[in-house]
Amino acid sequence: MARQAFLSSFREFLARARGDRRARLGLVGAVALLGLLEVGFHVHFSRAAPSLDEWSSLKPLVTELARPGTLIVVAPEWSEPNARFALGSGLMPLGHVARPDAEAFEQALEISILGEGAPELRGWNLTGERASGKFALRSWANPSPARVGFDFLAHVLPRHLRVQLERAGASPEACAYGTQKVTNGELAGHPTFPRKRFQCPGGEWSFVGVTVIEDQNYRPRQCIWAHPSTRATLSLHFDDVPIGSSIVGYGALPYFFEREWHGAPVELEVLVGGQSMGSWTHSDGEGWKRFEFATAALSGQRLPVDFRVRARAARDRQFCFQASVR
Amino acid sequence: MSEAATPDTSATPDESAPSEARAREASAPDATPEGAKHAKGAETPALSPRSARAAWSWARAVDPLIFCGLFGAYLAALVGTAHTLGYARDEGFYFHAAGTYGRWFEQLLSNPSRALSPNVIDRFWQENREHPALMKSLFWLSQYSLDGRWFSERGTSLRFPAMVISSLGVATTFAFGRRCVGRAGGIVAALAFALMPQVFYHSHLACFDMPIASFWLFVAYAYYRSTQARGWPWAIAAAVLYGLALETKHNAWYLPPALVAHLLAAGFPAFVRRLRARRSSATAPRTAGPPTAGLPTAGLPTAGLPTAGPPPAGLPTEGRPGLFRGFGRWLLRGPLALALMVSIGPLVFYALWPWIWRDTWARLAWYFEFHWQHVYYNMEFLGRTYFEPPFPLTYAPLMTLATVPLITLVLAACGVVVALAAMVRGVRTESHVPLAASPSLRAQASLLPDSWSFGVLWAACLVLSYSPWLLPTTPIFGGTKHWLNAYPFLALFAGWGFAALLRVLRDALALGGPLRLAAPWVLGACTMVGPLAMTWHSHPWGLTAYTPLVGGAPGAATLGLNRSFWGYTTGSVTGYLNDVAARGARVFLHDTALDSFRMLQKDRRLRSDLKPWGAVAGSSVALYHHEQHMSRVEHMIWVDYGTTSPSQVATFDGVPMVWVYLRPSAPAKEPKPPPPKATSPEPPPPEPPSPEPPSP
Repeated sequence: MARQAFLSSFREFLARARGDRRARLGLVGAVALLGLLEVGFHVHFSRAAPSLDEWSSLKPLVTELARPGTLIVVAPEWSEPNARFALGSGLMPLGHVARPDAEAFEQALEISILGEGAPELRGWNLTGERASGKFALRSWANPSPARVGFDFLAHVLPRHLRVQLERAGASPEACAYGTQKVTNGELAGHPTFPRKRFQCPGGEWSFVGVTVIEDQNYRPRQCIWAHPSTRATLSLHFDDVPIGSSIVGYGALPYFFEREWHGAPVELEVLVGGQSMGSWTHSDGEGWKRFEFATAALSGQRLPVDFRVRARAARDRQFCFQASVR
Repeated sequence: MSEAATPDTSATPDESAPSEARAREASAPDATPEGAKHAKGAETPALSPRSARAAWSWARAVDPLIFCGLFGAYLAALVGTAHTLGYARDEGFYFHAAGTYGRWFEQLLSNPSRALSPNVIDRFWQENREHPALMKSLFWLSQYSLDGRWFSERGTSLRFPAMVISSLGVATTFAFGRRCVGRAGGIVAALAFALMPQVFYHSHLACFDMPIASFWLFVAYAYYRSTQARGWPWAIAAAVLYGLALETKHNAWYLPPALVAHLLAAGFPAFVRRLRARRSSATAPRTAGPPTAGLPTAGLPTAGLPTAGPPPAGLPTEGRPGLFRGFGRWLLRGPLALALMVSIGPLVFYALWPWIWRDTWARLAWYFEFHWQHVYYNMEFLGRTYFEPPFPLTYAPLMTLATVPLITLVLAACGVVVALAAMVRGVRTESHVPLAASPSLRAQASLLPDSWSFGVLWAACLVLSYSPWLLPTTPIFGGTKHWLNAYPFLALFAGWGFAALLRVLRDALALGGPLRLAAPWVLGACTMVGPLAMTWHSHPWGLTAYTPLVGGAPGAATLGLNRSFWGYTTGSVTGYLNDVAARGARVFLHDTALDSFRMLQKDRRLRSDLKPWGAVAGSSVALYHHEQHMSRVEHMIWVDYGTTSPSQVATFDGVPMVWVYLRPSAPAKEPKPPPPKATSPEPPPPEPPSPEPPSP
């Protein structure tokens, strides 16, 4: 009965719609209006985002608002190249653009367009906001910035770091620091092998130096290249490190290499003053993954810190990590 | 009304409809189509013979003029805008292959016996053997005959054949639509197809995607014509065109199932009738005598009934001769074309591709295997880069929604509703015809409107074009280009929808005189101005053109939809490179193919002293074409060049597309240059080797 009633009402509706002149005209009018509305929206969206000239004209204001060390974040993320073009490397240096995370920054300036916001700054305190043309510039303060006592990445230099390959029962093989040929692959190739690096015995890839890899979201991460060796443990020995409450860092392989889950896990062991703080393992597919070793018991001392990198099978283990004392 | 005197109502008005009806149709600005004519069942006003002849002459002249006008205008728009469009990655490979094939053709003219020797054929034709030869041969022929004569840029001369075929596709969309849904519907269908931004982009390219989309349409049109009266020449045409389609791209493989689906659907009414007859004879003795009057059709939609008609496909007339005649008609209405397609088509395919003249089966098997087991490349969709199965099943529908103007989709939806209504009406009519009626009455009563035929054909082509992307294993790396062959049929439905709305408008307002003439123009302008504005605005960023439904290009970037691929956007920074690059500077090409870059230089769009470079290291200028998974290339540049700041960014609606880095200072000693790689026509597979495998 209910079905029949429904069908009957539906038929009645159709019959009325067919017979209703206004309804039919309304349909045609709605389609015509939709066509015109689409033109209007097209014009609106094609002018919604700022042009390069508008980005360039923003530089004086950003310079005024961003104190040295301020992290500049762009929302949405896709517009960041425009900001880098307009503001230059001085305001957006590699260390900021390819940061491990935003925890260590005290201040951030968010440049927002199209009403977007940066998810990375959620939980930060808004301290100011200005509108300029199509831009909204928001100043943020980190409510609890991490205090970095020692950034290992900034100390990949021979006066702070000694690199060697260590094998049981054999004398270590030193990796000399010097100038090497810069190489990089293309899309399917390796990241840039920097000019200044600790070159180890083995292949060109066997070195320690600072480069940039992409994480699981294809975002840049500046890190210390530490490709493990099959025949030995790669050891990075930092002298005279002021120890804090923990050593925090991240590690990954270029996502292009780890996303297919083909390789062996990479193990990172951290020693402070010769004492192992533990080890951390990175498996393919995990991306830019955080590690943290508690060092509170040794806090306040200046001790050597060793990072030991190894893998059961080292092929394609383009491991890269970043760490700091906090 | 005798059967002998009955015109074939499934044929087109200008072929078989009474002259008055033809004249009436011809004189109407939106010329009532077959399906609509049936649907309306309108009275035919009498015209004087002179007026009828004049109108008929006008009708004969105007449609070819519109056909040529659409073809010429689209071709002119393509040629006129080609200069500002950079060369896509695949074009570079096809340019090179065209040159190689061209050398073989030259040898064929100068020394045929040597050119036809197996070794020589293999040497020339093994290049780019993953695609057949037709388009690349035409590219060469065009360059050979038109470069420096018609076109000052060699690249445009190479692109010209694909532009011609694409423009023919637009014009044929009109022809198909005109024949089925009327002139106004046909024009809107052609415009709706032409004015899809991504169609406009792909129509420029010396590639195969728009040509195969056009060939799909050509074959479907010829096949459709073959199902009508005097259709056998069209059956031959369909077969030859299908051979050319096979010779264009492998998308042609899944066209026949669409035509078979149509054939089966066309036979559906006869099948139902037989089924009813069998059931009826099993339950009751068949009544003799034709109730020629008083058919129980009161309240039925008689609109679908033709005034007269021959036995429908598959319906045998009484007696053995009638059975043969019926079979003959049925044969002509589809099976003949299909039979010729599977016999002549492969012959054409074989004849035009020298690579398969020898070792045929093994090479065909390799060709099939190459595409069946195609490697997976990267494609960003909703913020995630897909590089291996399973691929999202929502990809094709969402990308269609995001890139085809909404108004076109809405018109197509209206067309689908009209099509379904016509089909339902036809089926209802069919099911109410008394089996006891005389054969001729049965025939006329049961003949479904022609809209059943073309509606099913268009729907089958549309669905089949999308069908590979119903599988999660089908690669999606080419974006919308994979299913471009669906778009002419989508546009035809849009034309059908437009024709239906126009009819509603006229009927509802009872328009007459000038208003009746103005109605299609006003409604057409309202619906087509958007696609026109979007398409024109999208050049030369066709792959980045997204509709307002997703917020245009900025909205699509925020949603994480692919911004571009193929490295063609280098064409948008040639002016900057010419201005700032040092003399003899090495330019890292990134995703632009070497031959695409060189074509820019041959065209003098780019300085000839600039050296293409295959790696960031050693370059002094680096290009970066953004795709999500390619960000790593930009990171390489940062570390190598020591800066994160590009010196130039080319944007589309504020969205960065391609950017240029200049090395702040030249390195003291540059490394030995790696030669630019001659890679496969598409981006390399995502299995990068280790820089150097560790020694054991």
